Amino acid sequence: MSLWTVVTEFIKLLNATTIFNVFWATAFGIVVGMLPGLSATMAVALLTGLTFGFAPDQAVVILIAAYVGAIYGGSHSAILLGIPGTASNAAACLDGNPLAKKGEAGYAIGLATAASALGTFFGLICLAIISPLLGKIALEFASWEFFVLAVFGIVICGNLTAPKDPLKGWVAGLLGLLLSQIGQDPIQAFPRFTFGSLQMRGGLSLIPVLVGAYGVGEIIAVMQSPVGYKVKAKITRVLPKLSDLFRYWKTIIRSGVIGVIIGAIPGVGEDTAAWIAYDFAKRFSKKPEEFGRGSHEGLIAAETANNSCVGGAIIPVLTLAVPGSAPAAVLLAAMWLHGIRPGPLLPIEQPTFIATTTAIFFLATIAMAIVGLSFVRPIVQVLRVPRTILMPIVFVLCSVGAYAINGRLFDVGVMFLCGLLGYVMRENNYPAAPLVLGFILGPMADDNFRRAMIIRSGDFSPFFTRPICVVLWLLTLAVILSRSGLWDLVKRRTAKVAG
Amino acid sequence: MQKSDWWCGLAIILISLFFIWGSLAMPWSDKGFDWSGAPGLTPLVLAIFLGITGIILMVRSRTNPKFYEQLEKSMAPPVVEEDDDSIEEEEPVGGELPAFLKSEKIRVALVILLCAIYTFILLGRFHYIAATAVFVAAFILVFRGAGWLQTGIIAVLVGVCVWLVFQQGFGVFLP
Repeated sequence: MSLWTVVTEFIKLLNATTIFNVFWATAFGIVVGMLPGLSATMAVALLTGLTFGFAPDQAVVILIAAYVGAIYGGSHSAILLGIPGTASNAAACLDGNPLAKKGEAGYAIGLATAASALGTFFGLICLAIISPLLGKIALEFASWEFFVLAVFGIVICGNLTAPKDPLKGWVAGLLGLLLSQIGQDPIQAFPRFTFGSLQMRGGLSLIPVLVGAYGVGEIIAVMQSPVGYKVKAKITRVLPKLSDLFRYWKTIIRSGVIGVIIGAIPGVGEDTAAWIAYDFAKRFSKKPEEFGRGSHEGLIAAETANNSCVGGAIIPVLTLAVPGSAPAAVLLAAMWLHGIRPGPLLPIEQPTFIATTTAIFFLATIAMAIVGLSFVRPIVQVLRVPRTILMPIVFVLCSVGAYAINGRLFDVGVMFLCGLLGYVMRENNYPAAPLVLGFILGPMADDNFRRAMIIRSGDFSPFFTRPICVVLWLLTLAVILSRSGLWDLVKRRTAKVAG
Repeated sequence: MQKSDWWCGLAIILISLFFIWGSLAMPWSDKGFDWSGAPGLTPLVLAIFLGITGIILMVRSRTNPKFYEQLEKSMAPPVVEEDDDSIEEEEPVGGELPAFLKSEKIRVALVILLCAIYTFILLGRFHYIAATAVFVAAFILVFRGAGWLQTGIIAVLVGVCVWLVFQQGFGVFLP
């Protein structure tokens, strides 16, 4: 894929319909991302259902624009309320909110906008460069590799989304994998765990599960506390000073790289990227004491990383059909719904699709910067609406999103029950991301595992002898050992022997 | 957390036993496939692993109190500070919050109940606009989000707007 292809695809996007769709979807993403409790995943999932009747090219444009907007939008409430709009903006709270308290709310939003735009831009450059290279490696993948990749994805996602207790992350991942087994099996067409129900035979759809686990679970959690907050801070200067951005160019590049790497790891989302980039920025900063007290550098690091992570998360989606983060998982499902088949064969079946996606990202980044910098005051008004009015409306939209995919009330029921599951998991510190990733990877894992077993008449050995499988198993093992305490034991023994 | 882990572990083991039972009840050989292609193979393997994690969770909750002490120490403090001048607490517009609405458990139960009524009773049985307006109005009134008149206007507006935008605009056939 050449730069010229991206430019050509970008020019093709410059028509009134696409530009209109990009702008409203970005604004919608910013508003949803900004509302505490509503995530980027929910913004994309909601629009997936609502844009079901759109032409595939326009639907993809809308979803990517909403994704980019939502990840950035969360910074508004992080700065103004001290409550992150999405989990990916939690790190931005640490310095964004103190800046708002100093009377620099508008400027902090401006800095976050510039950092987010730079981060997304960095992510899309990596998307354009890395995707074709990874695509070539992905062509070597067969059933054995895809199964081991699914296991690796669940293990590492569980590990990074529940860093204090990875066992709970793995439990969530296994639950997601098992939920995906409900319905007709893909090889023998045998109904599994359906209890004779025709609705269950069709299986659980991704969007109701996702909207439920993220959206409904969050609505319950938001309404739980009797105390809510609304914004009082006034917005003054918004445009960031270029000197502030140039001063922190190393932080921007470092955070961009971290975001892309974390994004490309299956299931590990923007929140992890932001925290790691924030931590690195603090370590390398000349003024680490300012971190947590309104540091421009800290805010820039967090916002650059979470937005560059978007580009990173799309890389495995396009090349391996494995999502890099939860919103990317919905994007993947939406692409399937619209007849686009991401994966190793994508460059062969649709040679320009990666270039088109890169161009859409570029357009969405421009829209994000324009909307973000120009409409701060009207957008922030949404934060003044009480949650008691907002949350029932959000639930109504969730139910429309879940219903629109198949036109079944059964899906709305699934959404509600998954919402309860999501809430119970949240209350007991089980992350939702591995559950969703497990649900996405379940069919791939099942299909490839059994196909591999049938091809070799029940012989397990290729899972442990093929080179890519060996590398993936070693990485999986390293992740498990590093969190299980066995690693510490090995280190202590080694030190004892050496000492 | 230690106690909840014990109960969660138990629930996880029961879920895994259900999936193991369901997997074993499926055919394990038939025309065209043997055990290696059986539909119950993958769920069986996954359910066994889930069961193992449940056992680890239960055992850990009883044998490793130090782990929980460290875990609770590492929990992050809340981000919002009480002496913050840039934000303010939401005032209940529709009247003073009754004592029972200050309990988190009751609030959660009410949200679940209202959403369940909308999902399983109102949707599909009544016209979409009426069902949605009733749900939105009930939600706002229960949690004292607005006065009666304002609530009525918001509820009808939401029902009509969602119906117009999705049914008429996006071509989504609403229940």
